Amino acid sequence: MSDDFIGGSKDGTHIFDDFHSNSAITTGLVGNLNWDMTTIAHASTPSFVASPNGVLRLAAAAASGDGEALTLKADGVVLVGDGQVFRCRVRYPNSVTTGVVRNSLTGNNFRIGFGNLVTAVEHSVGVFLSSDAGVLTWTCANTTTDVTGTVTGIPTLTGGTTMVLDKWHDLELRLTETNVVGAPYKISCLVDGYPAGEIVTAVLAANETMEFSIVHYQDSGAIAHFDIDYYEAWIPRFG
Amino acid sequence: MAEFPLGPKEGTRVFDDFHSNASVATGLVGNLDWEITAVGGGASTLSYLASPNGILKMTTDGTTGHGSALHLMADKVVLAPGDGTIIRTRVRLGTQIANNLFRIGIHDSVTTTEPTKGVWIDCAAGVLSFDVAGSGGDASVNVGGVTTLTSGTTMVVDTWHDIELRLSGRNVYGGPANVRCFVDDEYAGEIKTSLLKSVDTMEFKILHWDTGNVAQVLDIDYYEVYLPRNP
Repeated sequence: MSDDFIGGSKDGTHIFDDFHSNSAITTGLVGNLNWDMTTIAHASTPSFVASPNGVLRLAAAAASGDGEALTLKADGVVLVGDGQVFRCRVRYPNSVTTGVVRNSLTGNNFRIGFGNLVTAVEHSVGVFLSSDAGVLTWTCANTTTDVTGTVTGIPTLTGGTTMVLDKWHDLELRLTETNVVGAPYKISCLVDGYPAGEIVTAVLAANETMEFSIVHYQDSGAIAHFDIDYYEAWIPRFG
Repeated sequence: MAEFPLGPKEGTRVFDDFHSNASVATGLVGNLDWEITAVGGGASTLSYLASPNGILKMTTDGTTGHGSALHLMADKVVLAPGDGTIIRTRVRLGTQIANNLFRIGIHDSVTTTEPTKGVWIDCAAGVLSFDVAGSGGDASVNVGGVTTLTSGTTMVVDTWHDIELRLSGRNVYGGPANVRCFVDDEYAGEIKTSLLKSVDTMEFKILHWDTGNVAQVLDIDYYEVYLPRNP
């Protein structure tokens, strides 16, 4: 990460949450950023896990399609120019969920980054990472054309593509260059510090709105746990 | 003062400069939205002082054994081994030293009883020590030889002091092994026998109370903890 990532507010907006906060875990009061929560079908159970660095755990309820979306103000983000960075550290914990049943990758899904929807449906506008049962992709979605890249060749992932149960993974998106409508043009993905690919031809427009977003849901019909160590975004200041 | 990265990828920085909105209610104190627990049944009065850098004033109610604990969520911090964990603060005993007590750092007590788990700076009537307590045992060392303190050991009334704890090493329980203390940037002592376990839980904490039936004042300029991120 370049040094200018930790620049002051004059240079850009640095949004991050380490999830070390007071005991409130109700909507509008989650974490340092006071995330809003929107239930997907049946509400998840959020909690904080004892750790040095602060961990938020989302436990989706047991019916297929259940989950939770954590967002900041709706439609509060547009992406202009380039230089944006999104990164997070996430885990599917090997936690006991019901009796002796343990957490699983199966049907355990998330989308994290910038997005416009608070349902299990893929964002129609946004730049985000997705996990479908641990298989990682990243997407630029917009009103014209969506582009998705598939993570491959990462030595810390199973088969180079799939998250490992109970292992932390560092995910990062870097947005570079500017497209013809003033928004980012290229989006490269890194997983655990390894280059995972790049998507080009993003035609996201600079007036398309989205929000800081963490969406977790399951489609396996079993309780599913998802841990977030931190969420971080850097958006350079323009204009 | 030690330096550290400010990005969360490298580690967690929890800090409060106490420049915030007007609320001093529980769950809303400072930038971190500290919760308040009354100590001894009589909560302190909290207020903010006009300053360049933000100052939280904690004033006890004048009854011995009373005060307030400010804390984040209970039992959500454990300390990993290795170098780089730092706890630091800048504090001032506003009106008098006698009967003015605090414990600031990461620990598990919200009463005048000494914590059983944690790492903290301890002030008893201005006399400074630092402690590490865990389920493996306790250790404490008195601050000594600091030129800005009275007799090298005791805070000066109405004077700011910078206090810092640096954790390092790995003990047999998987927790940090050593705790070094610095006061006003001078070396103040070291604990080499930390028995804190990596599973011992605690919380970010500012605890202040009085023992003399006179309202006591603690001013806090900032509270800061840095926890490197583990693999």
